[in-house]
Amino acid sequence: MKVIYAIAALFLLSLQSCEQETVYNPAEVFNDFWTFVDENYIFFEDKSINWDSIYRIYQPLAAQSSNEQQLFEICSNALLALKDGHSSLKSEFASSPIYDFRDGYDIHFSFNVVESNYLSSPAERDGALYFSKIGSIGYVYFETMNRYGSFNNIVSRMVDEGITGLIIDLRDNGGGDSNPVPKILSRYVSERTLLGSYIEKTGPGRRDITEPLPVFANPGNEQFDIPIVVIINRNCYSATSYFSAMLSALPNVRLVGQKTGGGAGGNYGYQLINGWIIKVSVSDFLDYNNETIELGVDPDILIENNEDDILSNQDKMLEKAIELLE
Amino acid sequence: MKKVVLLSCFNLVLVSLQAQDETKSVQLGVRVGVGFASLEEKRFSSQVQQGILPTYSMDIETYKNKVRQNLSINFSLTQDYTNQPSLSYVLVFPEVRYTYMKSLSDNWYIGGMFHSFTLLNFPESELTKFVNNSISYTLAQSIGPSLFYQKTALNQKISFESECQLGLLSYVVRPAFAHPYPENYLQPDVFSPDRSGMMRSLFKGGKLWTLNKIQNIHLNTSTSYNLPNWKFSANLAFSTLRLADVKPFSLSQLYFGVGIKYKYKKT
Repeated sequence: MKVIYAIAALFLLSLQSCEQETVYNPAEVFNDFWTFVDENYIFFEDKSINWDSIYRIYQPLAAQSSNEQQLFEICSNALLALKDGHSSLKSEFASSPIYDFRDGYDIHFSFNVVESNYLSSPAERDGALYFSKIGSIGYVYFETMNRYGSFNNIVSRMVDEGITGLIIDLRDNGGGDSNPVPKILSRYVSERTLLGSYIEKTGPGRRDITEPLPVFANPGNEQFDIPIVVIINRNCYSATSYFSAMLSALPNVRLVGQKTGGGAGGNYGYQLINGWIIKVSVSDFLDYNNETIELGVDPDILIENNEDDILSNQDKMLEKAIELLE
Repeated sequence: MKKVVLLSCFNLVLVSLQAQDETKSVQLGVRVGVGFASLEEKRFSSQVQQGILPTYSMDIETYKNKVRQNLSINFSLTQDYTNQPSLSYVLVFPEVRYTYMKSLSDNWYIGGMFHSFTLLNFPESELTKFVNNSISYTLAQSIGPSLFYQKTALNQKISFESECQLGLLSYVVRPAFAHPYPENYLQPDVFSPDRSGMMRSLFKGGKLWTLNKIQNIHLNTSTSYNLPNWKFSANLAFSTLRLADVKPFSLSQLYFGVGIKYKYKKT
């Protein structure tokens, strides 16, 4: 009995001592940050990132940092070396800058230009979807990859109205949730079709990853047998890149526009020893050719708008899509 | 090996049912209490989080032919464990403890225990959303030895009880690594990004661990005031669960509770 009370008393004392505010030294925080990224980030090899050299550059700077803001900036800069828009660091006083995957790309799109100059009638809206027709071609714009569950109902209605082709416009769509996509695409295949594969981290080593975990579209009861053109640009990121890659696996689908922004990583959040929250990519998505889409999904036909096109109410990317379906 | 564990569990239940047919003394009780808990979950944090876990319990205790059995069902839930802006947890923690013990002497009992728990852990932060790892889970079933000591005083008005349980062999289910998928779900033709069918994999996806990978210790002591049919008790317990997983986990709790038991005898 005495032993139990003694253990209980010791535990209470330990609780009390832990409640005192702990001040972490900068080197300890940086090591925690670096180790978390080292053990969890999945794209080191795909992007040829030497994370050890990042340690050699930034650890001495971190050890000498004199305040939290400085240390945060050092860790943020180290994180930018991952060139990953899914990686971030947050504290109660700041957020790290996000890697700009758009850098070097000329991106011009305006839904107003589409609506005012190309659509036969003003677009209707259902959730994140805007839809109308361009002559006998159906047009559906995905604003985000959320609230798009009515997509097949919209297409079904358009097919009943006799459309001869479908344009899926994904431009400037920054992502959301791609998990419903395989089920939605079951209406566009007549046989089991590989859409791509996931890869998940399974341990702290660089090669501790699963084999590719394939995702299929299984044919549903009723198929839409229409040609589809998907318009993409560099602003398509994350779940939108997944969607683009999965669509590219379907028969009768062509992608036009710019390479997407990529963002294949499924991120994973973690609290560092000093309370900052870090997120990094711990999973990958491969297209049906087993290529990672982290750096983007390439269009079948490369075409871009420039600033003057949009200013003069012209959308060359959309015009190319219409041309392919006429 | 899994069959051995399942058979052992089945035997424990069977023995329990047989014993209940011949019950001489039964005590049914409810208990409420708070646990001062220290949680380390390396799936989410490098910090050790401390907070209070309210716990609600039901107990059934039987004595027959120098055999003591106890079934305890505990449920802990907290909406905002630690209440810090950077990271907090919503914890759901149901557990079942069953012991079957034989008397060694007037005061001592020795036997086996079965402990089953599920710990669901939902991280929350004011700084960011945990979208892809918004849950972690630890499911475990442990068996091992149990020791119980009982003493009465003041003409049996007051009783003191102490118990010690140690999990020797455990069947543990945890996420494989980063995202909350069990290892056996990360297989071609099993995995689905929408997590369909994951529950099936989850229950089949455990591993048998022993003391080098999991430490499951429970110490409990209580003092009771006895009336002919009722028993009022206060108890102090310490429990610790430590898992040497690839992302380690530990939960230590010091628990204070008060309860009431109804006693009846069946001849």
